[in-house]
Amino acid sequence: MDARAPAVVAVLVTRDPGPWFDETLAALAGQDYSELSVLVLVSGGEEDPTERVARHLPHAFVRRLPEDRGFGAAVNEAMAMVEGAAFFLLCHDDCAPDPDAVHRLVEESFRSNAGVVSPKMVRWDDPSVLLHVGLNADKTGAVVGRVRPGEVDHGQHDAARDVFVAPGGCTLVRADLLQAIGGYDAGIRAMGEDLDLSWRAQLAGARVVVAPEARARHLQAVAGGLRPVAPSAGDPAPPTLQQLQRRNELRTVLKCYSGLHLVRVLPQLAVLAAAEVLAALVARDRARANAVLGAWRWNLRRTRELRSLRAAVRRQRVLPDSVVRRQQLRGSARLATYASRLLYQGFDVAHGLVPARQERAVPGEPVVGDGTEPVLTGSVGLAFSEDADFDDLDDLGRRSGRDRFGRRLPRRILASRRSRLLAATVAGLVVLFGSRGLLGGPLPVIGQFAPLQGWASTWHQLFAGWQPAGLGTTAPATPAYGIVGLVGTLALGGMGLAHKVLVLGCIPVGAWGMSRLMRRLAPPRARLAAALAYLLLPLAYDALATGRWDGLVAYAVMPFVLGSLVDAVRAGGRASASAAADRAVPVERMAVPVEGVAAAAAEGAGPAADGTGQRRATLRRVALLGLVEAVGVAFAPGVAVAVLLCGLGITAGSFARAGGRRCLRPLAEAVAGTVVAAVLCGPWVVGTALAGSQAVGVFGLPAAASTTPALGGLLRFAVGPIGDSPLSWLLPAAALLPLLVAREARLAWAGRFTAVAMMAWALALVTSRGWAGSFAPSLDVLLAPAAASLAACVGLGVAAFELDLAGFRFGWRQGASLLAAGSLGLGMLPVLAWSFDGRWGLSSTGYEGPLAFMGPSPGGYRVLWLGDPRTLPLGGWADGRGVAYGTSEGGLPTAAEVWAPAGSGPASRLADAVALALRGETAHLGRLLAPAAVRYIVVTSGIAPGSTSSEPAPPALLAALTGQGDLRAVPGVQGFSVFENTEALPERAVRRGPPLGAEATARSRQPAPAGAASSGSGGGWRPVLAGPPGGSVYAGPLPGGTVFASFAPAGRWHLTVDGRTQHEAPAFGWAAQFPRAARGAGRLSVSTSALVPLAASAEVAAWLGLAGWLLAGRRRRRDRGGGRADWPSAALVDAGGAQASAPAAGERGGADTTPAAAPADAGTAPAAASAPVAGMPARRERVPQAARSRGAAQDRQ
Amino acid sequence: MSPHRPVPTGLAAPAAGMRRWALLGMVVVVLAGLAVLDRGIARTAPAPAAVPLAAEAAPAPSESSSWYCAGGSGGGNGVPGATVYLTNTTRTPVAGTVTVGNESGTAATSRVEVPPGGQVAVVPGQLARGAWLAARVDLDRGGVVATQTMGPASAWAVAPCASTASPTWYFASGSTAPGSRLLLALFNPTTTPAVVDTTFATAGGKMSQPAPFEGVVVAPGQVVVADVGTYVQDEPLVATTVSARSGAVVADEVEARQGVVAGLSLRLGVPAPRPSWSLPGIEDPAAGSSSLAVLNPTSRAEEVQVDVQLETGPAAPFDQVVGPGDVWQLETSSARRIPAAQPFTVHVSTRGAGGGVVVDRVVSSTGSTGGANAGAGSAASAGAGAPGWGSVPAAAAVPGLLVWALPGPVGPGSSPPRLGLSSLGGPVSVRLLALAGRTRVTVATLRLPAHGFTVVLPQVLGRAGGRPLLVVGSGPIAAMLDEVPGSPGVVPLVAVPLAPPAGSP
Repeated sequence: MDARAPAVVAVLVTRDPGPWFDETLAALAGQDYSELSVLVLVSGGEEDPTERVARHLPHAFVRRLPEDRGFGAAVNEAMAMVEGAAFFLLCHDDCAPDPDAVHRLVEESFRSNAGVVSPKMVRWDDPSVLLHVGLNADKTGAVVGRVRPGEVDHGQHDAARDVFVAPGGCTLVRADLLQAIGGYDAGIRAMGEDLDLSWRAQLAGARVVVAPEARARHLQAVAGGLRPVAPSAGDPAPPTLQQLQRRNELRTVLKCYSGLHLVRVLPQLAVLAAAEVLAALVARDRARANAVLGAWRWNLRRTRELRSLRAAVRRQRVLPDSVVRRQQLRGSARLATYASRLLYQGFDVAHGLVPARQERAVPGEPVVGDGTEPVLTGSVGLAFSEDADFDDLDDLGRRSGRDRFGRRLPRRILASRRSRLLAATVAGLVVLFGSRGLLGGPLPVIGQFAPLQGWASTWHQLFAGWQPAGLGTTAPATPAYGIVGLVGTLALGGMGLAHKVLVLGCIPVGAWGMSRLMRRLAPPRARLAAALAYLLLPLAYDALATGRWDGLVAYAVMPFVLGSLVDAVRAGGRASASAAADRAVPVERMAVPVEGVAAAAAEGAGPAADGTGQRRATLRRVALLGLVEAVGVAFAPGVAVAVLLCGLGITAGSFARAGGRRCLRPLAEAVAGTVVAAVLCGPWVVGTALAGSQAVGVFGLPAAASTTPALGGLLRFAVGPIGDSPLSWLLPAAALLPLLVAREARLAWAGRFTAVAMMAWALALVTSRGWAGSFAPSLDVLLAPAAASLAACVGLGVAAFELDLAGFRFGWRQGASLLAAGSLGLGMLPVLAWSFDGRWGLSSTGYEGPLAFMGPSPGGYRVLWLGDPRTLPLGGWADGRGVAYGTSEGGLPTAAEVWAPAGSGPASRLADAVALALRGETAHLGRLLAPAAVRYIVVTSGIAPGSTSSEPAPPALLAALTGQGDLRAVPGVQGFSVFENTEALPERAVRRGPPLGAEATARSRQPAPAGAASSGSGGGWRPVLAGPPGGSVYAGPLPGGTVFASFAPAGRWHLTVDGRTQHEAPAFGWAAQFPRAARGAGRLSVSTSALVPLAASAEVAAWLGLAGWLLAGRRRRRDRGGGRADWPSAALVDAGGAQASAPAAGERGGADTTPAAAPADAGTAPAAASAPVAGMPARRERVPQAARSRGAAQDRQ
Repeated sequence: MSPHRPVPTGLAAPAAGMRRWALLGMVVVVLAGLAVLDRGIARTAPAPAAVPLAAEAAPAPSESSSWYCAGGSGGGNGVPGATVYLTNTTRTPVAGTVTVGNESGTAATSRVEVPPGGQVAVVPGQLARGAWLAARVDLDRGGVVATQTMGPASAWAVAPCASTASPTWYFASGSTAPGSRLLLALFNPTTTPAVVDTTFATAGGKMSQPAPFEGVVVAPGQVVVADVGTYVQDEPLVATTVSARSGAVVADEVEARQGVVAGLSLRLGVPAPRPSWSLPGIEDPAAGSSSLAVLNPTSRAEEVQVDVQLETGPAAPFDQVVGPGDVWQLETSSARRIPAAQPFTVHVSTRGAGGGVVVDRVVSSTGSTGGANAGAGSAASAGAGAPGWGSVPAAAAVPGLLVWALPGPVGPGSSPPRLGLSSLGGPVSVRLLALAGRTRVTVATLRLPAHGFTVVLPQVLGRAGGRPLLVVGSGPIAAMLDEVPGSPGVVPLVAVPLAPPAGSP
């Protein structure tokens, strides 16, 4: 018997090799495999390497090919030259196998009965770093690596297994297989020949296996830019690597699938390509778009060639596509990568505009192209690297959740990143589906959804120092105008789009915030559950249905607020752990898991544990909290109350658990954040404070106690139509689960969140019943902390179910868990059911429909709105519980009137006049309102016109208005009442006659002077001075006479006629009057203090400066390698005495998470970030796309 | 045990278990506390809408005030012409305008000035022409009371004008029996057209909604008068409900009876049902009949109790459940528990959750023994002898300090009126003040016991010299004037309250 080893011929293809070639030759020369022959193919080029070959391999054969037609074509040439070989070792000239590599590859080939065997590829200059341990691919041919860039080889991949692609560089192929499949595809010059070969080998029935015991160093000269791709004859310009990769992928797909499968896959491929092109164009990544489109063009031009290639594949095919596809990744790697990057790394990274941090963090990695070109970013599915199925391969390495007999393997729900991403996508689609009716037209004028002004007007509102609310005021405007103006500017002036983004965007932002909040506390599945629970709580949709923008904003910011306070607790915990470490308490003696203490100590031992670092971290945290709070407060001042309530609740929860001064940290930081927010909103806060007792009104106006929900309604967030379902009770019920089954830190956090929710509910109950007097923050805002806490408890419940339940004996807790799971599912049904409405219950018709007759009018006018505060479509002031009033200029309100200043100023006279009518002390209310240019009075009785009168107007009010002799009811208006003032004066009027009398000037409560009143309906007053409603400058020809301007404050308004300032005399104590105005071109304008725009500018600068400082700090920490602390490290550290718990080793949740990443905002050491926790599996980091692509490129060198 | 069965690791220390239960206990306690707060302390009920009074004078310092007098006849329609009396209870002159509307709308406007403590009469028929005339009085201050009279040619009636326009008006009594003519006058004093439906109820709960009374459009300033008897015939008791689909009106009923017991009644409707009513110091005629009509215009049955307070003490109350839309007639003159020819006070109240009732009193005197209110202790018999008939809505039992204004004796009769006063609560001291220009003359000072009543005799009232009277009580009272003119008819008049100025107790 012949005992000789099978003959192996190493085919080394080279062209103008660099200095590394000698090492390659030496490596081949040093092989311990006796039956190895070497054939060197010189594929074109100018250099003749024969002498260099002879120096190392004197017995090697050297054959020079006339031109460089690519690696595959050269290998095909070699096949014809060699006879009797059992294996071919196909080598690049920059790949150096270890001395035993060939030996082990051949061994593995026999052991696995594999046709293609690939060694473990390591970095050329640092063999301890992995490059590839085989590659995977999805159905579209997108190649995915199996190791992360820079991943150190410590044997974690040292198991032979099936892979879909044997990466190029050094590949052992059975000679008969290579002959049978016709060698490489000669049409592929570079980038993709290994995919093609491996695919066809599998179609021919061969296994493709990676043998990590065999190792080879690979330089990746082409991918690293050390060697350009040789141009082909057909291409006028050498294609980029990206173009080559895309066209060859498509070629392989078109070639290898059977017809039936191609019909299935090709449309998907086309759709994905179109989407990628669209995304690339949006990101201005023209190279990518050209590559994708060029791939299709290139292949469509070669349909004849493809037909013949397909015929060849058909002849070679042994296995059907269905079998081969089980080896492929499911879904689209590119899409998953894109979505994953978009979600976790941002738009720029997702589009390759900015390299991902991990990509830059790979030292020594060769740079593709010029280093900025997003050549292959996003082209491989890094998301799959965390696919739970990744490790679920069977003995044959098959995936797709099936065993070797094709039976489906049992799967865990939402265990994989992809399934979670899918669930999140479905939830997002549900929200999108439920909002479909809101995406088209403008939002109805309901609640706080008044249309935005133009972007310039919005900015002007911030800086002008005069607001039209009420009768006009010089109080500073809320910073919300700046935020709206900024978004409007970014939307290129599309304020409708900006409006919808700012309103509807609150819902996904809130869910995202919840996900980020739970990232600190729970494994991914629980995080998803919390985000879904928050997303499907009725609160946000009820706020949407009732037009409460403040509620939506509070919903959006509250998870971030809670997240910041969670960090505050953790900071306390770290300090505690640090102190514990300082006291050198042996970890064995602490009654907590060793892992937790180790992690805590590790964090505490970092540089950030010193006083300066902690102070800096605290400062950063407070600044961030203040910034987030300021955004919320700008739109919903009640957010400040909610933040303090959160701080108090978490503090109380911590006190209940452990006590001690450090428990005060959340409250202290909440207070500090509120102070920062107050500073950021400085001018507006000062203006509000100056309103005196009315200042409390900015938080909200007291609604009628009879119209507010009972405690049951508050508990299930039934502040609108959506929560008013019995099923809505189930979500709060599900949130009780962590109190029953959670342990240690999860139980502690559940207690804290429960305390926050309880306090929020209690405060909501107290204020809604009127027990807090005029302090009545909006219910939607007050309930936001409760909703966020409840959702967090849901997430903690899932985490407890996952991690803690196993620690209990079988009993009622398991039953409770099942009940909670059922409650969670059923509790989401009300929102899901309402999604079919398409508008979340928001009326399709606002006040803009029935009040369309209130058009612009010469001279201008005002509309006085009366009704329950929740029903007014603008901001206003309280006139007793359940009744509020506000004014709009020239008809329907705009955003300029939504955020009314705290002080009503002279507008209170309107309320006084209405009160007179209510008491029966006037029969001529219209006359009293005439100086304020109130032409219409609208009394609201529901959220929207025609809606059920849940907040009916006081009957006495309607009766009183009906009985007024100068108010005419406007017929035909449903759901609310409109009265027209028959005595109304124009807002800007002139008459030839004496000025308004002294009695009008002195006693504003007196009836308007007869002259004014009677002439309001045409007795002498004529409208003058044109301008936009709510403007601060009006101009036009003046006939001369007495000019009356119904604007406050008196003395601030000036009239010039032909440039000459006219004498001004106040009227009614607040309005402007210009007796003896000259004839000519008039210009009426308001002059405000220069301090106001200065203060507004300083305010904007403070916002930008703080945001920039935080971003810069974040970037610095990223550059240092720090990151936000994810679960479980965050959960391990607890202010209540550094107690911790960790999931049992091998738990799925634990397997997907990092053990101890340094909290970025806490400033802990990068060293701590990488410190593994004993007994816990290491987290599989996401592998940057570009790095994988580079790896793929290396394979093709 | 399964190899995968987790084994308790001891992580859950006893302290943790206690903490868990403490936490759960805290949740339960807090939720229970909130529930107790929520349920135990009832939600602040919405302030009940103040049920408007049909006639209430605005406080003197008011910015302005208005009166609407709907039931005036312009003459020539079988009903005597109307006169509007404006009584100024303040010490300052009050100016204003009187706008007269007829069946086609606003017809004329005239300025008027009422001297302090004085009275001005305005005859709408002198300002405009029309079969029916209505007047709207706009004044630049409050404190003025407007009443209107009809007569005195064949009969005489007096009623306050309305101080409010309302979408609903109720009349508990009325008759279309032979000899009776019942007219419904609707006046729209507002600037908004009103569309009005009218429903009639008769004893036994029969309801009728004649088509001509459906969707009646009353233009601003217009007065519309309809003869109820044309559509609801031969009914001895007809209650009327006026309901405006849109807008607001003022409704008066004019009822004229011919025959042996003739008379004229001008009644201002009631804008809303109330849970309690009072008829202070009334007296059933010795010869004739007297009854109460109680209308329940709501959609729920009302349990009605009629308390009778005699001078000697309370009589046993009358109880009746009045169905929705039904009208109940209580013959007080035939009730044995009420002695004949003795003054008494009636207090009608409802029990239950209904919306209240509307009460009228109907008096018919054959004149054989005197006037309607003749009786022991009463001097009202003077000048009596002619049979008469009259009807009046009960006085609203309004809690609080009230000031009642009574116009001077404007009737043509020779006998001065009597004034019935009753306390609606505790003991009340009452001062009767006669208005004399800018001064006020005390006519009498009285003290009413708790829930007691008194009748101020004509002799006492005579001290006022025919000047308007102010009745100032230290507590809630009701006041009603009975006047027995020489002409046919019994003329009761509910005093008009003066709303206290804002801020007063």
